[in-house]
Amino acid sequence: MRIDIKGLRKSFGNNVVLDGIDLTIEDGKTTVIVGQTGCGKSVLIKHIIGLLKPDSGQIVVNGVDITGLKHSEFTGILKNFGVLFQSSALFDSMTVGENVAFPLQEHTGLSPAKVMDIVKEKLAIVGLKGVERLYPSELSGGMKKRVGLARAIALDPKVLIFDEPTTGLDPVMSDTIDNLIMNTQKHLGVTSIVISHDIAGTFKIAHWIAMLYKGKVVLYGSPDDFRNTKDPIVRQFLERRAEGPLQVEA
Amino acid sequence: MKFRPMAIFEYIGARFTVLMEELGGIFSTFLQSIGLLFVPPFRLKLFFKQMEFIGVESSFIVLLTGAFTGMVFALQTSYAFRLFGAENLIGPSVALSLARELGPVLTGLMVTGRVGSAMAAELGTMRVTEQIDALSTMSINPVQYLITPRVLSSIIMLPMLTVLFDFIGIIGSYFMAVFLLGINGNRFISDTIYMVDLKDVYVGLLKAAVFGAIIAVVGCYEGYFAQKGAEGVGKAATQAVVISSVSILIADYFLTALLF
Repeated sequence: MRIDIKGLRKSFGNNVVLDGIDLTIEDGKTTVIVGQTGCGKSVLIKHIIGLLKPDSGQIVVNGVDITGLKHSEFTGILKNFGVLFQSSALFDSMTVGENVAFPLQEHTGLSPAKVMDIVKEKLAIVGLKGVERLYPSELSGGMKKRVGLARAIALDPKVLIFDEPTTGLDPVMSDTIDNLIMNTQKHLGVTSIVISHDIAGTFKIAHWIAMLYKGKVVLYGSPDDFRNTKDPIVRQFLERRAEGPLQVEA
Repeated sequence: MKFRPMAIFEYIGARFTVLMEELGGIFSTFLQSIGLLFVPPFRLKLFFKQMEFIGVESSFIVLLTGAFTGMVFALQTSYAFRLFGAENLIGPSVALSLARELGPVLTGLMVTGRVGSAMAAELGTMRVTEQIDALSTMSINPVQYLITPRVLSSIIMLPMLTVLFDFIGIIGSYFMAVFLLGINGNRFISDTIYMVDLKDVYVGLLKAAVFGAIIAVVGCYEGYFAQKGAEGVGKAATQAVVISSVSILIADYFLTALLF
C-alpha cells in the first residue's frame, strides 16, 4: 500500500506540531521517520491511523483520501494496518495468547482451534514459544514488544507501523527487534513505517528515511543520502551533538 | 501586584466553562454508549462480566450496609416513637425511608466507592498505556467495547442491589424491633405492608437505575479521558468518586421532587 501525505497541518492550541508535511511512503518498503523528541513523529503516525484529524492536508492511501472518510468507511481501510505501540499496548487483563487471538476473534469467523494455530504461528514468527498462558506483566520489555508485533501481524496487514520499537531496550534486544522488522517486511512484503531515535538501527532497516524538524520534512532520501548530506541540522542529529542549529526545547 | 476586580469574574467564568465542558462530555459519552447498544457486534460476554463485577461482587458490601442501616434506623426511630406510644410505626417508617430514599442513595454511594473508582482507574490505565488507541487501530470502537457494557450493566444491577439493600434493611429493623425493643412481630409486618405502596418501591428502583447510569458514565468518562500517566489515573479515580457522589445526591433531590 502506498501512502501519500500532502500538506498535512496540525496545531494544538498555539503549538504548531505539523506545519505542512509532504511525504510519500512507498509500497513494500520500510520508511523510517526520525527527528527530535516532540517534533511531531507520533502525531504524524496518529493521523495515518485515524486517531487524530488534521487541521488541513490529505493522507491518501492507495488513491483514497482517508482524512474525509466516515468512521465506518475508515474502519475498512484500518483493517489493513497493524500497529506496534511504543508501550506495546498489550491488554493487561488478557494472556499473551488472548492478546494475539483478539483481532482474529473480532474480525474473522475462524474456529477457536484455527485461531489458536494462527496465534502459535505468529508467536513463532517473532521467536516466542510456550508463552501463550503468561500475562503481559510477567514478560520483559523485549518480549512485550515481540508479542505486540505478533498481535500486529495477526490479521496479515499490508502496512505495519512501529512507534519507537527499540526505545528502552538493551542494544542486543534492539538489534533482535530490528532483525524482526526486516524479516517481517521481507517475508510478508508489507509497507513498514518506523518511528525511531536509534541511528544505527535506522541505517540498518530503512529503505527510505525522512527527518522531521519544526513540523516539516527537512530531508527525505535513502540511507546513503543521509550519510552524505551536508545539511547541518541532519548532520547534528546523526552525529549526536548537542551543539548546532538543533536546539533542545526548554 | 495590582488588584483587578474583573479577575474574580474571569476566574468564576473559567471554572464554570470547565464545569460545563465536563458535564457536556459526560452527557455525550452517555448518549454515545447507549446508541452503540443497538449496533452490532453484541458482546454478551462483556455484559455478563460487568454485571458480575458491579452486581454480584458488590452484594456483600450492600448486605452489610443495608443490615446495619435498617438496625440503626429502627433504634433511632424507636426513641422518638416511644414518646408518643407509636412504636408500631417503626416498621413502616423504616421500610418507607429505605424504599424511597436510603436504599437507592446508600447503595449508589457504596457502589460509587467500589465500582466507579475502579472503572476510572482501569480505563485510565488503559488510556495512558495506549491500550485504548490499540483498540481503535484494530477497528474496534472503544466506547462500544469498554463503556457500553459498563453503563448498561450498572443500570441493570443498581436496582437489583437496591432491592437487596431494602430487603436486608427491613429484616435488620425487624430483628431490632421485635427481639430488642419487644414489638409484636406480626404487627410489624402487617403495618409495614399496609403503609408501604408498591410505588414507593419502584420509584426507588427507578432512582437506583439513574444512579447506576451516573456511576458508570462518570467513572468511564473520567478514566477514558485521563491524561498524564499515573497521576492522571489517580486523579481520574478521585474525580469519578467525587463527581458521582455529588451528582447522585443532586439527582436524588430532583427525582424525589418529580416522581413522588
